[in-house]
Amino acid sequence: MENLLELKKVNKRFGGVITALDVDMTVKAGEIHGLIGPNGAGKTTLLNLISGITPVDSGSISFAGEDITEYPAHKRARMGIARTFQQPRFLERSDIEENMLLSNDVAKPMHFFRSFFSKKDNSYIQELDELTRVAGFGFGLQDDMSSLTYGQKKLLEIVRSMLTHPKVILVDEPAAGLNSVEIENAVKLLQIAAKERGIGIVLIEHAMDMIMNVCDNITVLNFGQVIACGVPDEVSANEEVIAAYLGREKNA
Amino acid sequence: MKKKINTNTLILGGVSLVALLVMYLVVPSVSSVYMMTVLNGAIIFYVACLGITVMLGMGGMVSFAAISFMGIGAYASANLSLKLGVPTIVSMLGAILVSMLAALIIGAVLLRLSGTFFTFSTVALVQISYSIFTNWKEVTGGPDGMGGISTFEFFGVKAVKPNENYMVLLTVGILCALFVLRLKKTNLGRALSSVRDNEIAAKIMGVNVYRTKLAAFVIAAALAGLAGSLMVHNHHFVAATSFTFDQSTTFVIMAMLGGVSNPFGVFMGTVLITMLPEWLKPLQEYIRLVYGLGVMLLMVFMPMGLWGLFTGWVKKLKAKFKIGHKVMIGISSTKEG
Repeated sequence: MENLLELKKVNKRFGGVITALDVDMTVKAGEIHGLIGPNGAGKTTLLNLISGITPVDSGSISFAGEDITEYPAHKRARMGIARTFQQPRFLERSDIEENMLLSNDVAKPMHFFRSFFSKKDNSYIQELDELTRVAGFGFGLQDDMSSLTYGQKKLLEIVRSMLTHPKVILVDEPAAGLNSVEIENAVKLLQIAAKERGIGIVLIEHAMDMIMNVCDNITVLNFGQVIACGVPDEVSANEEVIAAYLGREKNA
Repeated sequence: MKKKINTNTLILGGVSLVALLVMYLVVPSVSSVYMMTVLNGAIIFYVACLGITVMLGMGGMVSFAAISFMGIGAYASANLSLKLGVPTIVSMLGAILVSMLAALIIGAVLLRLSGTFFTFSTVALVQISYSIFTNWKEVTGGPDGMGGISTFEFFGVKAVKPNENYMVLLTVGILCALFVLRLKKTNLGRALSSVRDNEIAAKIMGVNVYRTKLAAFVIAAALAGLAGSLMVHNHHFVAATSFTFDQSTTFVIMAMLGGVSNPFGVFMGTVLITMLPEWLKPLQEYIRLVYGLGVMLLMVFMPMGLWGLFTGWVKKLKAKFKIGHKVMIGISSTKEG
């Protein structure tokens, strides 16, 4: 299968701190690609580089066969790179409906004047309803964002990213702060995205059992460098990975 | 397909019908000529303040620039109708176009700044535009201003008395309010809300933050320019003293006081700020003190303005009497059948 997302020799440093050093990574359509590593390894930075929130120092990122290294974040989003955050980011002062309509705008771009004179588009509601059921909760569409719990917001963020009909979703620690039922539902959502819709997923997560169960491939980062890449079993047996997580045995 | 009419629409329709009747028929017949003049001024300010609804209420950007574009619109209209003798409608459209163009150029630069820096740059803009209005004699008439500008005239019908002007101004005001209400529901409106609430989330949702802000700035300038045009045709006179920084802060207060995110709220704020000096006249020299304290207290206890208070009540009432329909999403909708 063709590579959907391809990073080549991507570098990024903040002052003296190297957060990405010659990072290579590829993600295929329908693949769930785990991105793990100790705290501060540069995982979230890498997602920021892919989504264009922070520019790269050097290297190239290509998406769906196009070099997007110089593209601004909003253009990448419109091309089909969606993402979620460790702390969910919504329009907190707007209601849920407005938040969902915003993702519908990405899926169905429209000229301003057409939008001005056309009726409210409710075609996304059925999809929203189906995905929310998988996510295991419910809400009134006109409710305020504040009526949702933290866990529900994190799940809704995955739903929102799917509503934009993306080709790739970058998911940043979906399980953090969620209870076990919510984690299960998050996994279900990601699997629907990858297996039923063929979306490529980059998944950052510290919950190892989740990573080992759902990922097709795993890239391990440490101090901004890729130290291992492969299928879960390979990676978990890799000595460098074990060393990065547990520390190296001291030679006498 | 069956047409659904829900209680929300009925109530809203009823209230707006009554409000329209009151504004078009009752107000002009019970108000004195002086009162009509005051109200006309209020509506003109209202149109400019609607621009602040777009900038601050929807986009979260504090801008004092409204007065500059009101001036640009006013002088554009004055020149168009005095020197070229164009009909009122052309002069109004001309004012809108000129101020939009100016906003596009100025905004393209100023909006490179964000937050407080942008706000201060608009303060500077107001000072610069005031100097230009005072000194560019050929176009603005300098400190003497320009007089003898024609009154409103549409298709041969002339508005002469204040209550006739009122009809014109009211209609334009309502149209502008409807435009802003509709704008909120478009993709641009949503993009603006996202810029206000979370710029990073906005980018991730494919929103071009810079262009969205610029669009809002230009729309706000169009409204301010239109207000300027209304002003010259209403007063038949224009002078630089109308476009001071002082007046610009009054606009922001009007918008904030009523509830900046909603055209109705801004309307309440505009009327209140315009009428307060009239109502407080018996206080004589203490008028400024009471006015100032009043504004401060309102801001402390009603940060969302009068409209915020009102919508809070409406929400409670709706919840109590279960008015309005709700679209239920996800699991809970099956439980409730």
